[in-house]
Amino acid sequence: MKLSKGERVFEVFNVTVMILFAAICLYPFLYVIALSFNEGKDAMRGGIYLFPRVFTLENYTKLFEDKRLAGSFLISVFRTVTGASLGMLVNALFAFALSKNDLPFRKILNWLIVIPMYFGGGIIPYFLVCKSLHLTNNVLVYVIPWLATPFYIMLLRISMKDLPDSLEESAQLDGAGYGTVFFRIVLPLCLPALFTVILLGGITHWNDWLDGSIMVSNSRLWPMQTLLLNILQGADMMSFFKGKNLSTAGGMVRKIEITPESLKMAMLVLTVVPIFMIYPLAQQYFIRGIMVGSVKG
Amino acid sequence: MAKPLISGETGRLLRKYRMLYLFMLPGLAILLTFAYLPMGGLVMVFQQYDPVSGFFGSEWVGFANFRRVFSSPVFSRALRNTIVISGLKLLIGFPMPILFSLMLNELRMQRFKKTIQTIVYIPNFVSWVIVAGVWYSLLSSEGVVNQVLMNLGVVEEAILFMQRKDLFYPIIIFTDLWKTLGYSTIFYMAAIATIPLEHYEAAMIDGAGRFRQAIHITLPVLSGTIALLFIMAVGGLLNAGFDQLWTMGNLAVRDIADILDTAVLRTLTSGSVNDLSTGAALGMFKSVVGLVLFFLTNWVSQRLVHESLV
Repeated sequence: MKLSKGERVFEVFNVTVMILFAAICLYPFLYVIALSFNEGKDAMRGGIYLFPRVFTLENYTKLFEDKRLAGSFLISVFRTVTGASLGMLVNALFAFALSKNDLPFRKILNWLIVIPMYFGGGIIPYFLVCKSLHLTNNVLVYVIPWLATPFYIMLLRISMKDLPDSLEESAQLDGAGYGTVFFRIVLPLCLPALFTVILLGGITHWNDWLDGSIMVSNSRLWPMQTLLLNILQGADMMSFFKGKNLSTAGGMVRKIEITPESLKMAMLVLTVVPIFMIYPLAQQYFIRGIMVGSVKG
Repeated sequence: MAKPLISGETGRLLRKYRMLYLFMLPGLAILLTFAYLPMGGLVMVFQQYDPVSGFFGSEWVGFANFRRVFSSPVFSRALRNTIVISGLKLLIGFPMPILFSLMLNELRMQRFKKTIQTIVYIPNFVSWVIVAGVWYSLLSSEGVVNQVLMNLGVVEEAILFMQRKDLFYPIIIFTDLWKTLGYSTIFYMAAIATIPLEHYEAAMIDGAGRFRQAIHITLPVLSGTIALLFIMAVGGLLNAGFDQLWTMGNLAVRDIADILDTAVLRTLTSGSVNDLSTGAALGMFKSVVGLVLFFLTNWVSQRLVHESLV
């Protein structure tokens, strides 16, 4: 295909802009990673762009010495795994029932899931409800209120409606109940939608920091995001440094090369790494979910 | 036409599906408890809520909480900031994904296009805590932005980006764009994917260059999506970006960074019980007005998008 001169100029311009934009999206992460592997004192001089100048693992080893970090990691993993998988089950069960066109009271039930998508009581009544249920300062607050999500119910219902009725009917002729139909036929046939819900739910759980900030005052029960936010805002830095300023190794006083900044960078990297690991695998499911949601919305 | 509540047919279906109602029970219980109970809890906006007496025992005060909200300087400040930040995001952040999608669509190498898409979607999937941390670091006095500016001789001394009121909105708009631009293009790229290749080929035979193809073929297909997304953005005008402003705001810029949502949350984190009812009233104002805005724009969209699709 022949290109005119103007088109060729545009082509070069376009590709350059695209590469530039992709670089702007990616570079900040690379910068933070470089800083997290650099000695803190040295990093304060500036001039680190892409690679660490004085390489060290000390920022990370210091972080790992902190019991609270390990605790927050476990809490994040706990809420992500149980929240996403149990949520998928609760939402899929609900969606399966709603996918029956002749289900009595279907209209009311439909409204019941649509209304919360557009209106809510707000954060203060929500907090008071959780408090009265003794969910504040309780890790269950990260999981239980999230189990039913209207958006995921709708997403799952769409793919369940696409299933041919004949499959279910023939199974029922063979004496299968709805339990068997649901677990043996419906779920396996909706796997892509289930993956979408699990992955979107998982990423929401991993990224959430608000619950920890408002529902939990005991910092030992915080997920990583909440802990990170408090560290970033400087409110929680001192506790990280307590008793660590002078670490002695074999009687020798080690030079302090760690700064609050370098610890923050390492913590940032640890919090974002899980997302980066699953992102390439999960990308297509995310986009699918966003698309299906937008068609409905 | 009046129907009996449970006719013979409904009764048969109820029996047939009784297992399915059991299936819905967990989800129903969660929704009623955590979505509907807080809505009921909104009675507190008409009370002087105190935790000991709860929703049932607290003193009724009528609209006093709303009067308190509307007369408070924090409210007018938060409302103004919310509208200004949302407006700026709409003005600058809205056209960019359209432009970007058109440019993305002009890329010929599919492999390259896919790679670019994969990369620009990434920031959407990390939390605002991460985004705030990353950009605070980039914009810090020894961060890379200041380093480059100083090396180029643009500035003598490091700029304290996050402390400067005049730079705060540009940073907010930019980081919002950085995080959401890729994500927003997903909708447009999906619309573009529906255009049959023959349309472009026909235009090419007619002698239309690529610029004219983009204007006359691609853009018209996008108009429905553009209208829909625009109207949804207007409907969400009171959502100026709670996560972003809470994580990126700081005391130095509190005056211009405090939006309705952050003001509500601060009544909760301030630890003062007296403020709870006021905070809930402020939150209720925001969601009721937001809902009205949403329905209004949704109504407009039904007419407008309908028209534009014909």
